[in-house]
Amino acid sequence: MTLASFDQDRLGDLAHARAFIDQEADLLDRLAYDEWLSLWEPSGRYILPIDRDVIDHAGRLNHIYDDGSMRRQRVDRLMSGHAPSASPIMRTVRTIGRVRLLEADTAMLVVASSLLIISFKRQVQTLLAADVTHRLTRGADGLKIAEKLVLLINSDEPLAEMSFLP
Amino acid sequence: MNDAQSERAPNARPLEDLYDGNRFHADLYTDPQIFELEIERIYNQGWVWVAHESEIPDAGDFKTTHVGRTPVIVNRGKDGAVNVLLNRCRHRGATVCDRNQGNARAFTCPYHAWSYGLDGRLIGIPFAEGYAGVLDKANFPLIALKVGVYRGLVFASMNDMVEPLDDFLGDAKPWIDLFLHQGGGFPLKVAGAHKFRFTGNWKIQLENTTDGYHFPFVHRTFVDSLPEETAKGFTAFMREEGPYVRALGNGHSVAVFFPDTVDLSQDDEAPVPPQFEELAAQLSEDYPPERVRWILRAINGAGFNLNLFPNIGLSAAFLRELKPLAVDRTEIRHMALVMDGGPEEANRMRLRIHEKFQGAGGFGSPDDMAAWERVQIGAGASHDDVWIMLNRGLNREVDDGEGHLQAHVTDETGMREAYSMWKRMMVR
Ligand code: FES
Ligand SMILES: [Fe+2]
Repeated sequence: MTLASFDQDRLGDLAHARAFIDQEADLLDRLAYDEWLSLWEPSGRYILPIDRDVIDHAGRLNHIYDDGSMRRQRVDRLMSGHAPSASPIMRTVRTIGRVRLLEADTAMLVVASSLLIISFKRQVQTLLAADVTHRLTRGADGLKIAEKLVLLINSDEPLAEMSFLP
Repeated sequence: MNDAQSERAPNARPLEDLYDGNRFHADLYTDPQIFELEIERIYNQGWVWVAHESEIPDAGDFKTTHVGRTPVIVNRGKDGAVNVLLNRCRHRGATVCDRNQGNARAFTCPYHAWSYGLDGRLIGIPFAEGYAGVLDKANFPLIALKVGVYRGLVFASMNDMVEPLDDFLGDAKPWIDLFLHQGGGFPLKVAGAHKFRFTGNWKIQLENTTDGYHFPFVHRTFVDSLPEETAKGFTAFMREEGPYVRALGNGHSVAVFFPDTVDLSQDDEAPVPPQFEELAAQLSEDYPPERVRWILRAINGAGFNLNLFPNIGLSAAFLRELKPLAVDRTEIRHMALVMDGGPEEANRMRLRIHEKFQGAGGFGSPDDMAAWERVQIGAGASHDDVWIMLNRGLNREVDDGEGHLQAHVTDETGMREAYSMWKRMMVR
């Protein structure tokens, strides 16, 4: 698609999607995890793959492959105060860029973006980079996440501790 | 060997005084000279685990890894045999392969394009006229390490005089055999790995594989996330009499958390837990009831962690490899295991179970890492009389009747076995 061929609807969709993923990022940085959970379709999948160029994530080992129940458990774990790695939870500041609308119809928006997260804990500041794809459903009460795929730039290399939600 | 260079400072405590069967000095975690000696005397002298055969199933398959800090290529030759070669060109020393894994017919050095066969033979030198009468290709293969394979586990040694692998594994072998029973009658296959690095000494992780004591504390949030019945199992071993840890010689040990699932090929007649009923129904379409029960019984892995000195653990349902990078830096690889040729749905369940605990995104590994990093920080406190206590269970250690010391699963018997071996290899 060329820039010229963008119609108003499409620009509207892009702005809408962009506002949504910015809002999601803000919730995550503020540790408003319960609110974050409410952004999801119950059946939605939150995926951080290890291997690159994979389509069938269910058939492969991932860093995260969460359904609704695992997401809830993950949030409870991070917020419990009983996990040595998450007390304290890392502070994060994230920046989203190069947002592109890959697909749009009346039911669904698919958005690709770049994500940079600076995280901080006990004097150590770390930079994490990822390509992110959101599949968003459009419903009566706005957009919901049907799938969020976070492909870390170093997904298949040794990682350090990551006690927050990318 | 550059032993002379890395000898310890004249005023340092002698190595033999650093571990006495009861405690060890924190220098073992923090002294860079001790680390150098460990690389020379343990990793460069003994057997080191390098691969599972399923990582290189076909001729030409390779992976790159390290023996200690030395880069090596592990590959399967045309004859089906496993080769372990120094990843170091015989010309001016470049690594000849820098991919993690793949398939190759030959390895060509990027610098001046010398090329080597899968067995290490030097097969090509460009513009060879400069070497006529100077260098005979036959004398310059990639250096081959000694290779030993036991039931799919591939070990290598840089020491040609190393004892036979069979002798080194010794009494750990029957436990390796038992570990394989979780395949439900299928061979086990490595299906991906979580890799992570922590700021701490490699032995902190080595100890942890038979550390039953930390589980309910460090892994409280993992236990809290489990269904009630499963959660009970994960804390019952703290108090019960049956679970034990046993020293197996040569630094190896086994921690048996769940004595009922030591041999998964034996039907325990226990009912299928509710969370696996749906899967059981699916499997029943293709497999007889006993086989379905076996596959499901095995889905969480064996009821024990087998710790093989110095760098590999066979831990419940996965393999744990550790790589020492520096005195305070260690890389860990947790490999998920599935049934090779087994039912897809059950294999996926095994992957989900592995993901839940392991890796940077898991509910378990990050907490281990946090605890280990704090050990490293505490051990670095500059006070010469900081000792690490290793005496839990000395009061209740008994002989198992076959010459192995055994105590409760929360005791430090397995770690004492590892440090005795450490001392045997380090003090010469
Ligand atoms: S260093 Fe390998 S060919 Fe020269
Ligand atoms: Fe642990």
